[in-house]
Amino acid sequence: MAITDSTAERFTAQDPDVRLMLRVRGDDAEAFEELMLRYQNRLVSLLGHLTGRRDLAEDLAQDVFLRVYRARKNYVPGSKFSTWLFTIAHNVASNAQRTLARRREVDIAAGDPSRSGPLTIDAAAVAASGLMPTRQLDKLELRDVVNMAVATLNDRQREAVLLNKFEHLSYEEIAAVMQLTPAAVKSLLTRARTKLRDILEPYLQQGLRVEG
Amino acid sequence: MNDPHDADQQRLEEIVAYLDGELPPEAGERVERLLASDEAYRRQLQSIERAWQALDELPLTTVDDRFSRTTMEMAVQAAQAELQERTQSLPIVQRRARLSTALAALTAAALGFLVVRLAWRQPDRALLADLPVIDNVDVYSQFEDVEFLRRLHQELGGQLDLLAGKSDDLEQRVSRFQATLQAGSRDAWLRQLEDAERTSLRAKYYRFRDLPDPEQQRLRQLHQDVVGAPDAAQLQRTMLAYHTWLSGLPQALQFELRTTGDVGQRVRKVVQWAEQMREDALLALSEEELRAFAAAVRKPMEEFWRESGDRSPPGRPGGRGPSPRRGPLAVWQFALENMDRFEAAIVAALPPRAREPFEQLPPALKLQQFGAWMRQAEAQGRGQVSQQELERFFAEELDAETRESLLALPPEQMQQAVEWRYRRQTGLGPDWPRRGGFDGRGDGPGPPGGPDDMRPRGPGPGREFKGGFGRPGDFGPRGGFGSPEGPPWSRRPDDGPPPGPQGPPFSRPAEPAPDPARAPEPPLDE
Repeated sequence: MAITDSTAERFTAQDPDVRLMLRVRGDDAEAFEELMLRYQNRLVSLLGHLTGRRDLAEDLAQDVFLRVYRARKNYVPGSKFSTWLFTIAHNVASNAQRTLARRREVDIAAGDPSRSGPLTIDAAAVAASGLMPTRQLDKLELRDVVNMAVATLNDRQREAVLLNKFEHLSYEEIAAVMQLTPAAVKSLLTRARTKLRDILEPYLQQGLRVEG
Repeated sequence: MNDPHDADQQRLEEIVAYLDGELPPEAGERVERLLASDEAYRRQLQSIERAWQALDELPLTTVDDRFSRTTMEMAVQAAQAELQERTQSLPIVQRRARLSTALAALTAAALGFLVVRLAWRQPDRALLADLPVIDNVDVYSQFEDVEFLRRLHQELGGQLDLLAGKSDDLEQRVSRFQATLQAGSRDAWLRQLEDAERTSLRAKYYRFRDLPDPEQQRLRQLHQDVVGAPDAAQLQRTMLAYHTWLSGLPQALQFELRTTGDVGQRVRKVVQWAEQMREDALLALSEEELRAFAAAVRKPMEEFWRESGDRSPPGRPGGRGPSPRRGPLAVWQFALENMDRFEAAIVAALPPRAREPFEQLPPALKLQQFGAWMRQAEAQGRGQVSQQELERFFAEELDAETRESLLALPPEQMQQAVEWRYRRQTGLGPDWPRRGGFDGRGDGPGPPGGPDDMRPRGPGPGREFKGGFGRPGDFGPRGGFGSPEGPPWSRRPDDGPPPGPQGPPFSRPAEPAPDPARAPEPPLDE
């Protein structure tokens, strides 16, 4: 779909990252560096949760930035820059996951019960609180439990949750990134949040009880 | 009839969309009414929201500098590939034409900028931004404004050799300074540094970084003043020559110069010290020269001791026969009175370059300088005498009375006393007033370095500066001649080890320096 001039102007006016990317289009290396610095941690975080591997996440993030650089000459602002960037990241991650699946490297989502090792969400919860049921989960233990809970989501749920929670993308923007409809995103997020609630609530309640 | 599961799903989607701010206003108002009236609905929303908030506990990933650098490097490679691809896609004729050149230049410019950006990673960014200041942080820390440099240059009459010597060091430093001035080539300059130079530069960077902000700003401004002045080239050479000279001084003397508030006084002090250091450098003898000198003056020395006869210093048994003890003042007086007779022998024993400077010294300083050379020869010779040789000397060359007196000493003292006598008799360790020995001044041997090296590298002058720059341990633990019973004029009751380069006397910059031409004062322990 062609991007109209008015759309481009709107995003250029609203989004400073779009303006940076337009400078990158003009071979402004400093702008490219600035964009990279702004997004590198967020991108590696997202890809880390999607792949379950930090080293792979960094490799993929570099691939994403490289694609951004290579695509600079054809860049037209048709959305927020983050939407465009995460769309590229989504494609890169999807390709990587397919490749990994073909190689039977099925442990990329470490916390998924169907694909994880011995440490499941239940095991983590027991480890975190089972031995001392009356105490409040400390930060570190809560982090482990939450990490495990996120890992139980399927790939698409996890991606939608991360984009929504940490990148503050709207349903429409998530839909654009994941090539879904906004309604599908709404349904996806509802199932994901319900699942997270079902897993985390007992542990959170336990903590609240002790605190109260 | 609606499926209860679907209804429940719709209800959840509504709650989630409400929490995400994705509901239209009317639907939002309906949810709020339900929240106010339906406890179960409210609890359901709260539990979903609680789980959502728990996601804040997920750790945030932070990548290191390596990630940024390698990513930028990949971008550079991509740009290079683009350039190659675009060039190759042109017809051969066009490739050779201006278009190709222009295209290559444009892309190369972009590439070049990207490469520069690569180097501008933290902390390299800060390093490169302030490179000339950081590389010269120790230089700029030594003076406060360019006026000092101008006055110094004027006082020196443009003769920077007095500070920097005649080696190529100054030229190399100027070249390095100039190389760091060009912002565009700093990265390339940085890349060609050897590992040791990089380490050194990094240490300077940390020193600069740890300075308070106002001091950093002062150094930056000073740098701008130096490079932006109409006489920038002269200022830079003077600055670097000054630092070359200054770095040969002990820290305490550097401090003294830094804290000499009056610029004129500081400049005069620098020039005065530098001139004296040059003289001392002329008078500095290499090991080989010292050895030859000590051997050549052995006979005149023996003559001196024979003639001094009953003037043997106290505390030394015998001498050349029983004699009443005379104080060091008397020996000193004798030496001064008869210096002209020994001077010819001393001058003849010196290497040619040292003769004239020596002859120009006042008599008292001649005596001191001679004593310093002999002590250096002694220190140089120390450790080269075998125990067997000492035993032979003790048995064959000492008279019975001397042997008896030596045997009465504790073993350690006896060993030292025998060695002292051996060195005196063989010319390796003559007994002579040390330079500055009367007032604790200048007990050091002066700057090391051969005749070709006029630039002060090590300790500096021993005449001007209290305590001298000498090696404290060279002449025995009490600063004497290596013998526990050494001549008393070399010792004072409270003499400790001579102050080293950073010893206490240097840390009193307010104390006026003694006049180098002034004759040493008589010993206080007479």
